[in-house]
Amino acid sequence: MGSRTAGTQQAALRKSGGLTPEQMVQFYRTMYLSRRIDDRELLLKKQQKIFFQISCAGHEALLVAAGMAMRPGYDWFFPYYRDRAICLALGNTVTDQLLQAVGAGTDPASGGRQMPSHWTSVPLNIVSPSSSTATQCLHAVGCAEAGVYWNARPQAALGSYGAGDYRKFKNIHFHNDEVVYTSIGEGSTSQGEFWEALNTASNAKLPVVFVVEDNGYAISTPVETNTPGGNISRLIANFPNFHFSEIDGTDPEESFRAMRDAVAYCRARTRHTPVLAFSER
Amino acid sequence: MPAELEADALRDPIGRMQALLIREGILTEEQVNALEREVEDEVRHAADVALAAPLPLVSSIERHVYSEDLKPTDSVFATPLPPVTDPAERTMADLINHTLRDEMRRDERVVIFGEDVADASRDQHLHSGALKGKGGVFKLTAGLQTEFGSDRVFNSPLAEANITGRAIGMAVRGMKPVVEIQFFDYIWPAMHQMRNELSVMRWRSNGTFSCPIVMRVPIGGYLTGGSIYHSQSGESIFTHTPGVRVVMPSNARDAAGLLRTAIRCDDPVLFLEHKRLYREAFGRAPYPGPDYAIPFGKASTLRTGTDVTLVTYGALVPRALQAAQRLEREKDISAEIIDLRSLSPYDFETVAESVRKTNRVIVAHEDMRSWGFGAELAARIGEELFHDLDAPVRRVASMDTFVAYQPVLEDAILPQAEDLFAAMAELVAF
Repeated sequence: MGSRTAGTQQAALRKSGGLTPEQMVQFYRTMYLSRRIDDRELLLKKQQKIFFQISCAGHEALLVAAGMAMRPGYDWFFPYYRDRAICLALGNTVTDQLLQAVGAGTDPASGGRQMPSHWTSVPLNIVSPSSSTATQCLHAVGCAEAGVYWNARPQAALGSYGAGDYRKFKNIHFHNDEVVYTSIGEGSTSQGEFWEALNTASNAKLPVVFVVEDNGYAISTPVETNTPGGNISRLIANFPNFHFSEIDGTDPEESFRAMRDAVAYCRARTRHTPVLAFSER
Repeated sequence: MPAELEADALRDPIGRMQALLIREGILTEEQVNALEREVEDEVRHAADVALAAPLPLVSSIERHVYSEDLKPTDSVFATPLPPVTDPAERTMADLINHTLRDEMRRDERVVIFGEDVADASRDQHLHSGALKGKGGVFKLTAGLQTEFGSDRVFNSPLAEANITGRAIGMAVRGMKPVVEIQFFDYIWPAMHQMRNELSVMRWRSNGTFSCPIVMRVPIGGYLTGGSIYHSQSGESIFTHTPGVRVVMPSNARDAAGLLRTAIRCDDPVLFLEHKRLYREAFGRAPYPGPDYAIPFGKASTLRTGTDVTLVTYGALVPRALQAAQRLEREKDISAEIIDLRSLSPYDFETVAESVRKTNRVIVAHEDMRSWGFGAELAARIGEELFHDLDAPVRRVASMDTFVAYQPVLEDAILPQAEDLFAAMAELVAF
């Protein structure tokens, strides 16, 4: 640790929303790791050792905050392809991610079938994604509904089954305060399925954290071309049962506070909580 | 814009946090440097490991397109027909409703949702007995919410992608959603979810995630006035997608047996219900009991013959049987009629065996002729059975248009029993 007094560190702890100095260092390390993997992949791509690259650069603070505010293997995750840093924070290793980039047979996410940044992990509850935009928001909603269902009817998850029954092959686990994370780029909020997911999450008061990562552009198209008024949070402000947070996703402490609060709302089952975050790449 | 990029650089979260750590005295510059060197080493080492890792085997490509644990073609689904306890003849609609009820009683993981499938969303009216409820626009799910509760049978928003995407999310967690798309004509908003998510979840995750849901979809025409948006076929669009099973029964007993297999198996299933067949006199059957199942990929030879084979499915089945009777009566031609029942997978062995006997074959379906299911089947017969053929493979199908409202047009657009009769007679005379 550095040379400042304990009092200054206490002040920092409060401001950072309860992160200890050790956690702050871990936070920084995970962000930096994410950025260096992106850099390494860009190099490998130039060397033609990998065949595609999708960058998380600029989104790291928001995503590490989300990963540190949630519980891998307990909560459920439907991230999109810019979400390298949350997956690292949840426990994905660099090797896991680079095995997918090279298309290895031992790629734990897809066995060499999906391009890089298509995060998948059974032990961490990171559900396999496509490259389509916004479809994952509806999966997150269904996943949250399943959590509600299993908690209401735990006996349905039990039993042993013989041949000719799919239940023999399903491993079911659930927790009464589990939360579902899904994220989406701001550009993809133009897709109807994003709005369909908000409809059901709002109606059913589901414990889903929606994270909109707004870097101002959908590939090359600026935000005002996609979103009337240029601010998605204003458009969704009238949905009932939502808790909103509009944050600077490049600020680690602000991001962590917002994520911690959002997850806490969901765990308490009082309302579900989309977080609108701004991030720069 | 350069100014925009420069502003972005100042907002780089990594630079911001590094400055914060040093400013707050949490790390010194030396400690930051040491941490970054350590990360650099970790990434370099991981890259070396990844580049040295074994490549996937070409022989593994087809693994996990479908469940490796349980195939719907398995003989475990070939249950004998039990003795009839209630001889009353039931419609296809009745037996589908009955099978859904049986499976919901047996398996609490089954939930049903879709547009108007519940008896009543405001369920206090059901409990008071004031309302009998809707239970689907064709009444196929009638009474299920009343018996099983509003968390197991419920209405969805009017949004087909919503239905499909949520079902995928539930099935990933081990539930068994059996959802309804109200009309095949309106399945298209769900197509994105079906093509890019439902069908490929298992393959893209190398078998670690799966979403074996059942999608029940009323399909087809011959409704007299069904018009463009209540008469569509289009099954070949879905059989052209790996990872999803497609079945289409022509009669009540097959509907019960195939739906049971669809629900109990471990693959996503598109279950196509011909709405003209829901309450037809043709194909009614007594209730076959709560465990009667039919494996997928097993055709049913409904009529044996020696002169010509007609392979079909769905609403053309009763029309083909009618044409075959007339051929026998008027022209002394003996036609063999095969009902495929299951389109993906399909039973090529039964087709091949029949063609080796009759040496003449027609593939007939209600869907459009060009790029339809018959095109693939005809091509495969040509490839594999060329030496057994005494005549070209023929197709009978609808015109390459949509289905018009005016019955005079509808009758001309859709294939009729007379078309099948004429095609078989011509082929035998070839």
